Order: sequence, then structure tokens, then C-alpha cells
Amino acid sequence: MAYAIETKKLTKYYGKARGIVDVDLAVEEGEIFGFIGPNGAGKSTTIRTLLGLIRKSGGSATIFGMDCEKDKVKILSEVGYLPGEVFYYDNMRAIDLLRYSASFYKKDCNKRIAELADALSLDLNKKIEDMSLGNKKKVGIVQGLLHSPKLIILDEPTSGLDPLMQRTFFDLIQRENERGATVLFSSHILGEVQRICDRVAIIKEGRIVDLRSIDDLRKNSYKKVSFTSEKPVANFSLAGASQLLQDGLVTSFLYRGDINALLQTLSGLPLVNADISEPELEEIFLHYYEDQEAAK
Amino acid sequence: MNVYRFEIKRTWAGVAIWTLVICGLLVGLIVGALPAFLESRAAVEDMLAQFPPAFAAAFGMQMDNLFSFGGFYAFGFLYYALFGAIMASGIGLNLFSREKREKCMDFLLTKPRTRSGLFFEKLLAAVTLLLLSNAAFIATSLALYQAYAPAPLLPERALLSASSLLWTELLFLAIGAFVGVFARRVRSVSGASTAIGFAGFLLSALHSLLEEEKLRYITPFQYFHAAKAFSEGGFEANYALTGAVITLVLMIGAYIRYTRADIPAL
Repeated sequence: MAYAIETKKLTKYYGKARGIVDVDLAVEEGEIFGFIGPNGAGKSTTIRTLLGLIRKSGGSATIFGMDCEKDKVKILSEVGYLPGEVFYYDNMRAIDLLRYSASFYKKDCNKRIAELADALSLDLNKKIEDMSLGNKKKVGIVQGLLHSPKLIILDEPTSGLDPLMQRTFFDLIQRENERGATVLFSSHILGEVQRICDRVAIIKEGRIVDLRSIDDLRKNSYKKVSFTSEKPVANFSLAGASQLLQDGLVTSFLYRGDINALLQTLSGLPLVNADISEPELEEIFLHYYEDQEAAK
Repeated sequence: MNVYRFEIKRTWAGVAIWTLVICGLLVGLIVGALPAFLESRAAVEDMLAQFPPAFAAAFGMQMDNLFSFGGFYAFGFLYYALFGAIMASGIGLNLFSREKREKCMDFLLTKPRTRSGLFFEKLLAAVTLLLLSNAAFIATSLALYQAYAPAPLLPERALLSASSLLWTELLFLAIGAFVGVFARRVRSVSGASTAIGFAGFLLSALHSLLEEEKLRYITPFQYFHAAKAFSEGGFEANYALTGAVITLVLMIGAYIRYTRADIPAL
């Protein structure tokens, strides 16, 4: 299996402060790979090292088999980078910026620019500084994709986009992926990642703590359950429930296990209201990794 | 060469304006002021006598250089150099901190181009602009020289003398580039370049005031001395070398920093 991105013990220290330590990643060609972690975990550091924006302190990083430092120019002609925060030169219309961007690639990108702008409903003749944040992000999206890159690296890409535009954006990315592009998608918002990624790496405090498929993550994560009953429920117990809290008529807990068993137990109770929801990413980290610590 | 074209497109208008100002001042002084000074020499001498000598010296208004073409040209040079220094350091700051100021380092540095290549395209654009500006200045100087200077005419010396503005500007370009690359934030290019230009002016004023020859080593406007170039047929080796070395060292420093610096996220 050819790897689009492969890092071995990739490390970056900012002076004495840790950026990332011994990061091992292997992103297969053609997959959509999620890279998640809390703020400050090292997602941006990893990506910026891959792109040559910062120099690594140790380890190795290759894209399409080429070394990220030595073959930077060759690599970057096939990479599209969509950063989280979008800034461009003052006093430029979108079309001018996009043409300038296209001039760095040895391809004719005019058709692609028009297609992408159309798909995103972007007015190319407007000055970028006069655009709303959402439209600026659209310029960023077109800028990252106009040269039909083989690898697309997204860093918190949908912040600032309304839900409809987010959907359009994910559709775009999915189509690029179907066209054969590999996607590395970095985010701290689990919802985004869950939508389109095949596999996910979880990074925390500079180290990769886990690497698994999305389905796996979902299956093994907790559900938050809370219900209100007609009468106080004494001696409530259920295998797989933890952090049980009872406050008068309201019972809440975290559940991990077969959803059918949960529903069967609940259906046996006189309920007024019930609420079963997905936990936040932070909560998954806290509980999942507390578990790991406890298991040790 | 798309970066080269981009930088030129974004910078040429400002350079054109400065060039007009410098050449305008040149023409104004030689065609306007010099004849007037020559005609009413006594009146000018009286006026000068009233300035405190230190003040007059700081502004280059010394008796011997106000009543001949050569001297007047040299007197004016202090001011052409001031504007030239502001313009050139502004170009350096502008081009080499553009992406940093407009927060689009990520945009440019993730393009398939080496940082080295980017640096040299920007440098080439800067030098092109300076060459064009100085072509105008030298042409104007030579034309005025042919028209107003007393015989015997030595056009090669006039050319060398006029070129001193170019060498001085290259030094200030290097200063601007160095500051642009190393400064964490460049809030105002015009503010910073004006400060740099005036710093150069003040150093010259200090030298004129104290009349200490050694101070010339820290007087950037006088490394490539226009008047001496004319009278002696060449620049003074030690000062010119000082200027050249400083220019090179600053440029190399800027290059190393530009190609090696980590670019953190915004």
C-alpha cells in the first residue's frame, strides 16, 4: 500500500517546549484521514512540519515517498493546503489572487477556478478584504483546490461557514477524494471528522495516543444518558453504566455497550422524558483515556 | 518569475513618486536656487552668517559649497540621499515583510517554490526598481551637468558622482530587507523607512558638526561620497568598502533568516 503521508518518530521542540514527540503517521493514498485532538495538542505543528513551514527537530516525514525537506518543491506542487485562518494581500480581487496562486503551478487552472467558484457561489470580482468571513473562506477553499492536488491538507476548515456551506464543502472534498485525492483533515470538532473520515489519529499533548477507524471510535465511545421518571428510581443498575448521578426524579449516567440492552432497561421504567446523546470530543478524551490509565 | 512581476506591480507607483520628488528637487535646486544664489552671493553669505554654525553645518550649508555647480550638487546630495534612503529602505521593508504584515506567509510559503527562489525574485524586483529610479536620476543629473556646469566638462566623473545615490540606496535596501525579515511585527513601512532615512541624515549631520573624520565610518550617506567622487575621480576605498561590506552582510543575514525561519501558525 503506497503511503501518501508517512512520518516516523516526527519530533519538534520549540526551544524547550514540546511541539510534537515521536509522531508516527501513515496515511494511505486515497483515504480521508482525520487528525483530531484538543487545542494545543500538536495538530498544526505536525501539519506545518509536513508542509515545510517549520523545521523538524527529529524523525522523518515523507509525502508520496519524497522527503518533506529535500523534495519540498516537488511535493508542494501536488499538495493543496486549506488553513483555518484565511488572510490574503490587501487590495486584491478574488480572481486576481486566484490567478496569482495558479501561476505557481505548471497547469492551466482557469477552468477549475470557475468550476469551484460556481460550486461555492463565490463572486470572483469582489475584493477579498470586502468579503464576509464565509466568502473569504471560500476563496481559501478555491485557492487550495484549483491545481487539482493529489493531497489535500485541511486545518480546521469549516469554522466560519454556515451549515449549508459546510455541506457543500464536504461534498466538494468527497468528490475530490473520489477523483483520487488523499485528504488529511485536522480538527478539534468531532462532528466534522465523523462525517467524512475513514480513519482517525488522536493526538494529545504532542503524542499520538490512538489510531483507529471512525466506526471503531464511535462504537467504543460513550453515550450520555439521562432520564426523568414519574417516581424516584431506587437501586438503578445497568451493566456498562458509569458515573451514575441521581437527583430526585432525574437520573443520569454514561453508558458504553449494546444500545439494545440500554433501551430494554429504559423501556421497563415509567419515564416522563429520556435523553440519549453523543458526548463531546473532550468528554471522549477524558473518559476514554481515564479508562486507559485505570486499566494500567 | 511571477513573484518578481507581482512585487514590481505592487511597488512601482511609490517608487515613481519618490523618483519624481528626488529629480524634482534636483532640478529645482540647480535650475532654480543655484542661479539665484550665484547672483546674490553677498545676501546669501549674510544670511548664512546669521545661522548658528552648528546648525548650518548640520544642514550641509557650508560657505564653500554653495556657490559652484559641484558644491551645490554635493549640498543637494544630502537631501537626495535622505529621500533615496527612505525610498530604498521602504522597498526593502515592503518586499521582504509583505507576507508577514498581511498575514499570508502560509499562502506564499506553501507554494512549490524554494524560499531561496522567493527571496531572489523579491531582491531582483527591488534592484530593478532602484536601477530604474537611478537611471532617471543619473539622466537628469547628466543633463543638468551638461547645461549648467562650467567647462571643462568631465562627464565620466559626473556619471560616477551621480551613481553614488544608487550605491547608497542599495545599502539602505539591505537595511530595510534585514529589518523586514527579522522584525516580529512591521506596523508601518512608511514610518519605519522614514525613521531609517532620518537616522542616516542625523548621522551625517553629526559628522558635519563634529568634523571628526573617523565618524565617516558610521555615516552611511558618505560611504559613497558624491563630491569626492567627482573631485578625485573615484570613491574612497575604505569608506566605499565599508558600505559594500555592510550591504552584503545585511543582505546575507536577511537571506539566511528568510530561508531558515520557522513560520508558526497565526
